[in-house]
Amino acid sequence: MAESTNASPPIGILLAAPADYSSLARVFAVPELVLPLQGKSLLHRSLDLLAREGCKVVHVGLGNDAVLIKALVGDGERWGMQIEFHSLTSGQGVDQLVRRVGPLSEQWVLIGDACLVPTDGTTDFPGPAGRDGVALFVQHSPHKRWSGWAMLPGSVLRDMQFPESLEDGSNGTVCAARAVVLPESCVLAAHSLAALLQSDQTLLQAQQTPIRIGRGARIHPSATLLAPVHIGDGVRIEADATVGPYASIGSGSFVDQGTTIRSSAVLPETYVGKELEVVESVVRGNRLASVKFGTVADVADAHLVAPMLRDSRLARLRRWLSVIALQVLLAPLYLLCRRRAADSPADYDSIAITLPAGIRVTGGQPVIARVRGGPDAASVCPAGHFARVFYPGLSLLGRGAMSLLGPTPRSRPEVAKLPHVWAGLYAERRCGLLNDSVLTHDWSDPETGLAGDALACMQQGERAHMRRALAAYLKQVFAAILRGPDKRIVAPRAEQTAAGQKLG
Amino acid sequence: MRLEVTTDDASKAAIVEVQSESLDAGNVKAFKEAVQPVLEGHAAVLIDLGPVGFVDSSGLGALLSCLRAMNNRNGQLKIYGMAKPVRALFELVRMHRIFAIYNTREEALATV
Repeated sequence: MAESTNASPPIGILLAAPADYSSLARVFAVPELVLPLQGKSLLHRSLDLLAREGCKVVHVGLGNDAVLIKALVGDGERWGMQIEFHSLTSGQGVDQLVRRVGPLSEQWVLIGDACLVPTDGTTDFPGPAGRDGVALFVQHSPHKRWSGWAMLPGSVLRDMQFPESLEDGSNGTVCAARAVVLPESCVLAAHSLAALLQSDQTLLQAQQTPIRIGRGARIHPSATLLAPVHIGDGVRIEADATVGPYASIGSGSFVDQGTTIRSSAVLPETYVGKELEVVESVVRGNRLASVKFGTVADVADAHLVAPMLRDSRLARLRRWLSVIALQVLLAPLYLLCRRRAADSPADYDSIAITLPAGIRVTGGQPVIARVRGGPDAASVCPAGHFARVFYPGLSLLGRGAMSLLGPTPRSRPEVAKLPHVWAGLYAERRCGLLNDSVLTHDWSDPETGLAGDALACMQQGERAHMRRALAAYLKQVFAAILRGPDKRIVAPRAEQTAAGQKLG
Repeated sequence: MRLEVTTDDASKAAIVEVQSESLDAGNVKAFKEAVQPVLEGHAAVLIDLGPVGFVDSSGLGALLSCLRAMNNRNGQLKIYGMAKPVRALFELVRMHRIFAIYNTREEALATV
């Protein structure tokens, strides 16, 4: 890119101090130059570019995010470069940085904004007929004495003086013999949501193979990938999902069954739930930024979109210990329920134990435990459920295969009857042991279950809800123990049937 | 949950304005109880979600429940005035294909 006539390596100058946080940085609570774009941030792409230009020494101007950027850049060894940092105060820009660097050598490469990076392979910059205000390419090489290029945001360039003569420029001021406007297709930017998505698509178009799949990615055979598409390292794509065209999935993300993602970017470590449709959006964690609607939506339901949770060893150990403690605590009730279930198998069709009502949980529903059990699906028996489902199922909590709170387990035929949008929620893996079948009692309302599912799955406040529900559940359990096995309440037949249908 | 219910004289459609900033697990039961009589008393119901800035899946479930109730009676349920984040959520879960969604009350009334 730079016209290299001298053997000495060019000096790299990189301004990594955005004057102000962009709207996108505020949305995702991350400086835009470290937002990962197909596995690599703009900051790293800038340094890659300087390395490709042959820079051995790079001067990096730092602003408010100095600590973060220093941590990400390190000493520059991975690029084979020596990094020198310069702290800039508010209001100082690329011209101050250039002066800090001192007299320029004959060759230099300057990136005036780490948030505006030329696309890989952009060597032939077009003329000034491009779009206005995107970025500018500056080159000075009238006598081949020194040359370089700079890419600056239009606002910065407008404020700078560009002397025409070489001598004027040799004192450290950026010179411009030729300034051309880069079209958007040549620039990667992340100052706005639209720019980020456009940059993502630019990268997809520029990639050498239409479909790129990262290391360790697992893609279900029934999933569909439509080029151009980028699948990051360690991504998992489940059955019947459709990804692309123009979609990128960040490393470590999970795209669940039946979901469609097109013209969108899923940033790393993000879970995208089942049967969803992500179009013209950027998703990070539980935040959905829609370019189509120009808005940002926080999704409260962890079964829709959510950050991927990676348990630490300590967290796993703590979970196992909690499970063991719960098993020990509930062991007497388990033995009691087993004996009761063995004593009265013939009564399964008519037995229901209604535990004390009046315990309030979120939503104001009285808690009544009436859950499935017994040999056939229509029977209602908490003792059977407890002995056969809940207690053995506790071990699943330790393995992370089931959550304590989550949707009600439903049979496949029942799921098939649900509205399409809800069908995806009901895979066994994401069901909870404490589900709406033990948290609600209104069997006549088919939507109660869905509300309970949402309640249980809400990411915001889930812990508090889980604590309340668990406390309520334990209260019921001990109340049942104290009441003894002979206090049975026979549920009305109609209720049982409805419950049986609900629980399938 | 407070609902402002009016009736359009020309179309006889009920217009329900949800006067809450959110429709979520905390108020969805109240919403269903409040809207139930309106659904039963009218052949066409328009729901104004303008003031609602946040909906979670229980809120979506409640709206689905309303739609199902109206469909069972061969009635019409239309939604208008959605805030952009709510609209984005509807598209995320593909509910924009199930509901008749309009930008303004006039647009919604014109289709009744």
